Amino acid sequence: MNKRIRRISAILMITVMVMSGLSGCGKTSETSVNKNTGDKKNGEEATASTLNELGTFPLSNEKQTFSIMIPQLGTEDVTKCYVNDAYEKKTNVSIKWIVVPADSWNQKVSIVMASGDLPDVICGMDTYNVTPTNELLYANQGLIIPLNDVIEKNSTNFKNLMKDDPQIKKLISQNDGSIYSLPGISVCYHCNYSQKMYINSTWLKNLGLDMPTTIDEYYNVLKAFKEKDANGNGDPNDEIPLIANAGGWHTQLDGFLMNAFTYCDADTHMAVEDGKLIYTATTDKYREGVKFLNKLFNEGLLSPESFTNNQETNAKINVSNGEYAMFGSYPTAYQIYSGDTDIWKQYDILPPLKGADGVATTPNYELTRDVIRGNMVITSAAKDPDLIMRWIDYFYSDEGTMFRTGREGIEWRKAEKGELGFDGEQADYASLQTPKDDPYYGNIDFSQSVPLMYSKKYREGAVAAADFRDNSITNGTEIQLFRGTKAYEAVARSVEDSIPTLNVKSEEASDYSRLQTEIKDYQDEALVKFITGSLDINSDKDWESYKTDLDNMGLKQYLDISNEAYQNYLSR
Amino acid sequence: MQNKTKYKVNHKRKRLSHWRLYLMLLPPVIYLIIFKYWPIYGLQIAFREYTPVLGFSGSPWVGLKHFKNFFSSYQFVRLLSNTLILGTISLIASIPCPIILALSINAAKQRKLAKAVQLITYAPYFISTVILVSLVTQLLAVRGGMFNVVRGWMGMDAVNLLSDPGAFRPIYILSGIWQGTGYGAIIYLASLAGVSPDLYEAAKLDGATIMQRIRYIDLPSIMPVVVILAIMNCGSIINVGFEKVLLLQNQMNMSTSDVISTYVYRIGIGSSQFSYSTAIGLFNSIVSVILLLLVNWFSKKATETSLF
Repeated sequence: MNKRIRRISAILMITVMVMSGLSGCGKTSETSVNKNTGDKKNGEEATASTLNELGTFPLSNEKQTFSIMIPQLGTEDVTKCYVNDAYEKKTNVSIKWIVVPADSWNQKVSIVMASGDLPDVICGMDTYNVTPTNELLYANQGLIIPLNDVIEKNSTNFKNLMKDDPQIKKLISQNDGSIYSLPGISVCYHCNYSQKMYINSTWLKNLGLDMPTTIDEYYNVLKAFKEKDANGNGDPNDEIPLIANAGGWHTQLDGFLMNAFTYCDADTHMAVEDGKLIYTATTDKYREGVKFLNKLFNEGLLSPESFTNNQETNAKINVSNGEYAMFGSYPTAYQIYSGDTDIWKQYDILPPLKGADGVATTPNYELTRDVIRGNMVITSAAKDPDLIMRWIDYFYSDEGTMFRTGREGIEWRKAEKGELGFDGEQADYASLQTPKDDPYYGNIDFSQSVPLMYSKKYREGAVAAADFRDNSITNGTEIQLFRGTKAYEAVARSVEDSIPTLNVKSEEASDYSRLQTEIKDYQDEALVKFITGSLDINSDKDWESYKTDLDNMGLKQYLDISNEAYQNYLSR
Repeated sequence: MQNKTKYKVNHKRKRLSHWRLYLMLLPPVIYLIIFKYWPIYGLQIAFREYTPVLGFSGSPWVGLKHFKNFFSSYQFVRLLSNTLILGTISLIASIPCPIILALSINAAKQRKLAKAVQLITYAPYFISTVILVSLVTQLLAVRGGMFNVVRGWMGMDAVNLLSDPGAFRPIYILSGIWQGTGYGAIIYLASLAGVSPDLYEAAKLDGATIMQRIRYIDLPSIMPVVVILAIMNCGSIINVGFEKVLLLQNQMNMSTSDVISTYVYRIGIGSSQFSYSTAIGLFNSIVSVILLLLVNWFSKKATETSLF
C-alpha cells in the first residue's frame, strides 16, 4: 500500500513538473519572440518611413499602435479620457494601455522587468522611485533603451526645452551623458517653499488681532484662540488653536514652527553648512523649539489629536460645526480641511515667523521639484521608438500643454485683454469647469504619469482673480498659494544651500535606505514623546539618551554616505 | 499461475478505480507546490543583496549581513518583545472564552435561544479587519465616540485611548476576543456533539449537577481539541494579526504597537528593502517553528496529547 502511494505521488510529482516545465517553455518562447522582434527592429528601421515629416500631424498615415504601462492614480481613466480620444484622432496612433493599480505598481514593475515580458513604454517610473542607479542597471540589462539619438532625431520641443534650460539635461543624464528616461517638467512655485502654516484670519478679525509676525506673537494668538470665542458661535471652548495631522505633505509639527528657532527641513532634518551636510534635529536650538512645542501641548494649545488623526478625519472635524471653523491654524503644504464647503476661505497663509533673534527662514525645495526625473522609459520591446518619441514630444510644447488642459470653451478660454495672470502681467487663459453632464467630466487628461510640461508661463499665465476668495473662480486655492508663497521665497534658503536628490552609490543604496527609514522613524517617535511629555525635554538625561540612541542607530554612517553623495553632486 | 494473474489484474483495476480520488488530490498538491514550496527558492534573497533586475540567483551574495543588521538594530529588542507579548497574551486570552461559550451553548436547555446566541456571537467573525478597526476608532474617538460620550455622562474627562501605548494591547486583544469567540466555539461544539448521550444519562441518574456534568464529561472530552488548537496557535504567536496592528498603530502608541510584521512592512515595502525584510521574515518563521516544537514537546510530556 505504502509503495503504491509512493509510486502514485511520484507520478503526480512528475505530472506537475512536466506541466510547470511546459509553462516555463511557454515563457521562454515568448521572450524569444520578443528578442526576435528586437532583432527585426534594425531591419524595420528602413521601413519606418511610414512616419510623416517631423512636427506634422498625423504622425503616420497608417494606423499605428504601441503599449504603455501606467499606474492608476486618482480616479481618472486614461483609456477613456478626453486627451486619449482626441490625441488618437490627431496622431493616428492608438495606445494600448496597461493600467496597474497604484498599490501594486512597484511589484508589477519589478515583475515585468524580471520576466522580460515588457510593454513598449512604462510611464510613471518616477512613482517607482527609479533611482539613477536602478535606471543604469535596467539599461545594462538591455531592458530600457538609450534615448539620446532618439531625442536628437525625433524631437523638436523637448530639444528646445533642454537648450533653454541646461539644468534639465544635467538632472536626467547618467554620469556618461546618456539619457534613459524622459522627465516631466512641472515648474511649481509654491512647491518650492511648501513647508507652510495656515491661520484662520476670520478668527483674527473676530478677536481684533493682527497677523502674527514673531513666534511670541503667534503664541499669544493661539492663547487668544483658546480662551475666547474666536469662531463666534457662542461657545468659547470648542476652538482648537493648533492641530497637525499624522501623515501628509509637510504637516510635521517641527516643520514650519521650528524655523523660528533654527533652520529645519522636517523631511530630512539635514542642512548644508559650510558645504557639508549636517543633522539638525540634535542641536540645542532644535531642543529649544521642541520645548516650545511641548509648552503648546501642555497648555492645551496644540491638540493631542495631531498625532492620531489623519487628513480625512481632521477635514471632517473642521467642517463639523457648519460655518464655524474648528481649527485656528495647521501646518501643511496646501489647504486640506474644507471638503465642499467654503471654510477654507477663512484661512490665510501665515508668513514665516521671526524667532528671538529676529530671523525667519524656510527650506527651498527647488532642486528636487521642477524636473520629475524618470517619468517615462522606452523598453527594448518597443518596435518603433521614433514614433513613441514623436508621440510624446508634442506634450513638451505650450500647445501640447493646452491640449492636455482640455477643450477651448469647455475646460478653458482665452484670456481677455486686461485680465491679469498670477504674475500680474496680461494673462493667457482662464480655467473653466467642465459641465457635470459632459461625458468627459472629471476625466480630461492622462495622469501626471505621462510626462507633462507645466512651464512657469503656463502656471502663471492663468487668469488670477484679484481676490482668491471670489466665488466665481475655480483656481482660488492656487491663487492663494501663489501669493502666500511670496513671503516664504523672501526668507528661504538659497538654491546653493539646498539639498538635491542624492545619488547614493549602488553598493551602499540598501544600507542607506534602511538607515534613513530607521533614523526617521526613531526621530519622529521621539519628537512626539518629547512634545507630549512621555520623554522630558527639560531633562538633560532624556535628551542625551535621545542623541546616543541616534548615534547607535548609525547616524554617523548615514551622514557620511549622504555627504559623499552630496560632494559628488557638487563636483558634477 | 492463473490465480496470480487474476490477482494482478484486480490489483491494477483497483488502483485505477481510485482515479477520482487522485484527481481530487491534484489541485491541492499543485497549489502547495506552486504557492508553498516554490517560493522557498526565493528565500535565498535573505542572504543576497537583491535587485529585481538581477533576479534571485543573480544578485550578489552577502551571507548573514541582513540578519546581523537586524539583531544589532536599535529596534530589535523592542520589536521582539512587543511581538511575543502581544502574541502570547492574545493566545492565552483567546483560549477560555470560546470554551466557556461552547459549554454554555451546549448545556442550554432553550435550544432556540442557544442557536440565536451562537449566530450572534459568530457574526463578528465575518467583519473585515479594516471595518473592525474603523468601528473601534469610531467607538473610542475623542470627539463623539461612544466610549467618551458615556464617560462624559459620568462626569469624566474624555481620554484618547487610541494614542495611549498602555491601551493598545487591551484594545487589540479585547476586539480580537469579540471577533473570534463565536467562531472559535464552533469546533468545540462539534466535539461536544460527539459525546455519547449515555454518559449524560448515567451522570443524571447518579445525581450529578449541571456543573458536575460539565466538569467531568464535557471538559475531558474536548480537552484534546483544546490542546491541539493551542499548540497550533503557538506557531502563529509571532505572526500577530498584521493588518489590525498596522491599522491601530500611530506615532503615539509605537512603543507597544510596533511588532516585527509592521516593521517588515515599513522597511520592506515602504523603502523597498526586499532582502532585509526577507531575512526578518525568515527569522520570524524559524522562531515560530521553534515555539511550535517546544510547546508540542511540552504538551506530549505533560498531557500526552500532541500534534506529532
